[in-house]
Amino acid sequence: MMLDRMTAPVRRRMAWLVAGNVALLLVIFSCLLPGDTISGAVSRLGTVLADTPRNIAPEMLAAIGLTAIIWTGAIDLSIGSVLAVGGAVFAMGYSHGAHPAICFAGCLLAAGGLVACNGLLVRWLRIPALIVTLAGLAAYRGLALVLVNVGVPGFDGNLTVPEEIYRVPGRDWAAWILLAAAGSAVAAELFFRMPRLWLAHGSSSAACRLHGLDLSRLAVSAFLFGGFYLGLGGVLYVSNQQTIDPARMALGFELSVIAAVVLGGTNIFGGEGSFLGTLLGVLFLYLARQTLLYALDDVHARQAFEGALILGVIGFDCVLHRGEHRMEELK
Amino acid sequence: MRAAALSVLLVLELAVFASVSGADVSTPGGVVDYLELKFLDLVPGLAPVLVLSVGMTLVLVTAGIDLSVGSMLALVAAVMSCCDGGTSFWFTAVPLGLLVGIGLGLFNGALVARLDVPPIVATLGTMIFYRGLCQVVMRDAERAPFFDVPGYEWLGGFGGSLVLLGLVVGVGGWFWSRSRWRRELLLVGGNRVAARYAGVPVDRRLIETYAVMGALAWLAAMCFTARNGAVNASTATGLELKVIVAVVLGGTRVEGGRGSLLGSVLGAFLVAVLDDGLREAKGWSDDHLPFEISHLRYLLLGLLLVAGVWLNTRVGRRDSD
Repeated sequence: MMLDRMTAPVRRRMAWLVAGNVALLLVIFSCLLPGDTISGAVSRLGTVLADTPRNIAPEMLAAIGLTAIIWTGAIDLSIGSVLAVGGAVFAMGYSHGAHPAICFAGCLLAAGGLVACNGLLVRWLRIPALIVTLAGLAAYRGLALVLVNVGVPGFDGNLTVPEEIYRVPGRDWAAWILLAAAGSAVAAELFFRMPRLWLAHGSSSAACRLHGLDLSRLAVSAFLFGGFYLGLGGVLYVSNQQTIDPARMALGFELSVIAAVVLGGTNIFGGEGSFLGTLLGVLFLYLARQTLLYALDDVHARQAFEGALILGVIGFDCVLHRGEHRMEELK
Repeated sequence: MRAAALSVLLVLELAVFASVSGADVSTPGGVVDYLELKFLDLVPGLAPVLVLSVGMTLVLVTAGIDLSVGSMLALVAAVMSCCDGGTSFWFTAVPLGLLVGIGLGLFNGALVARLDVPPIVATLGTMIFYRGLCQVVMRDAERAPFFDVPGYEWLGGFGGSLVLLGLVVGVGGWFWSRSRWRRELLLVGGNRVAARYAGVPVDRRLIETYAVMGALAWLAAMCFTARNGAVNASTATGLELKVIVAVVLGGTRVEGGRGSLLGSVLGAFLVAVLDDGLREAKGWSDDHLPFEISHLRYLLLGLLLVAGVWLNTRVGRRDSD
């Protein structure tokens, strides 16, 4: 039923991604390391698979949230800085001895609230989402730094959280939280009306307006949904870190999430995509990074390779949609 | 009108930071001394932002954006730093830097014009990619061959910066105000379909614009290295936001179709005074604020960007009404 609702390019992309993920796993398995044996390769593959849910959960949840936002034709570039604010709020709670549940709730509310705030600003100021969130990229990072300076006594650049109890969600529960949240998103796409309205908004806002839909309210609802998922991702991200450093936390996170969403078949201009494709896209990028880790000795070259891979993926997607885009221009 | 408003804002900003930094501005002589010192100090530091603002104005006029300017500057400077200092630097590193700058700009332009990647996504990607290349070139090192080059340091001083800025803003502005190219870029940014129907080679103009941005990144890299003398893999991180804020505050619309070089110059001065003022106000903030005042820089830049775009949108709507 789900596949029937997707467009042919999204279905094709998902098939490619499934094949790509399997191929990457094979590459990781067969990567020749010095003194490697079959048991070594099996253990390497086992380590990668065991660590996968914990490592990709924040990115996957953020990607689900961003997918909803991009479906409406908007974008959120500030998600890395939003996570830094979530981390700062968590650090404030921790440094004042708050219960872990309060720290996690604060992180979720701060991160989710800021994404929702982006949606409201787009609605009220009527300026492009990319500008609001580009401003947020800088402003929220500054806000995070101010918050930790004001709220964390004796803060000297980063805060170490040695207590295991503060790392339970990100380390022990990540797989279950991810399963529940991703499952809910996919179910919502299947059974609820709202995700289809977001897609309709991104596909043709003029048609939606003629249909009597309140477009700005739809866009805000997508930002609210995105905020919840990003907040949840923020909790897992923060609780998976040993130290909290708001100046460097989640730097460049937004680009890898955007790349994963686009890779998963979501049209960057909105109106097309699926949550399942996004999940596969995040997995592909994660496995590609792991492959680089094993296959490329040069640490400095990894960022360039990753950048090239992301650019290649996005460029490829845009070439595929080039004809439609030109036709849309001429309408 | 906007230029006058920006000038008033600039004077207000200078007045606030003068009082916060404890400068003696109670007499006319004190004000002149303060402004003279400020100007001598600001111009060389401001040069890279101002040069890039000129290029960003062109890019924004075409309804594009270039987030990779900081990484381009860093990569050009990194490549130039691989060449030996000495007189030969002028014949090897300088032309090589120009070629690299134009090449990087052409790559951005090809992504935007040929592959139809949205400019913000394309340049966000190249921002990471170019920074990665910068790390490949620099590793963890910091290289400083620039002050060994005869005459190079002059470019980073007040006189050299003023000459370079005069050339870019003066000659560039003169060309900008009179050329057909400008009208075509405005048309591309204002209404791309109309531009295609009017026979404007849209893709070519876009590629040219990003290539000019690359060339200006090379010039900004020269200004930067001539002043700082060294470069590393994290050089000029976050510069793109300052440049965009300067240009948007200057009245250039992010939707394209309208832009002013004079406004961008004033916007760059506003951002530079803010940056410099926050640095100078550190002593005051240590006594009066519970956090480092430098952290406000990001917050204020973000707020200025939203305020600038909101104002431009309001003015645009009022004009169209």
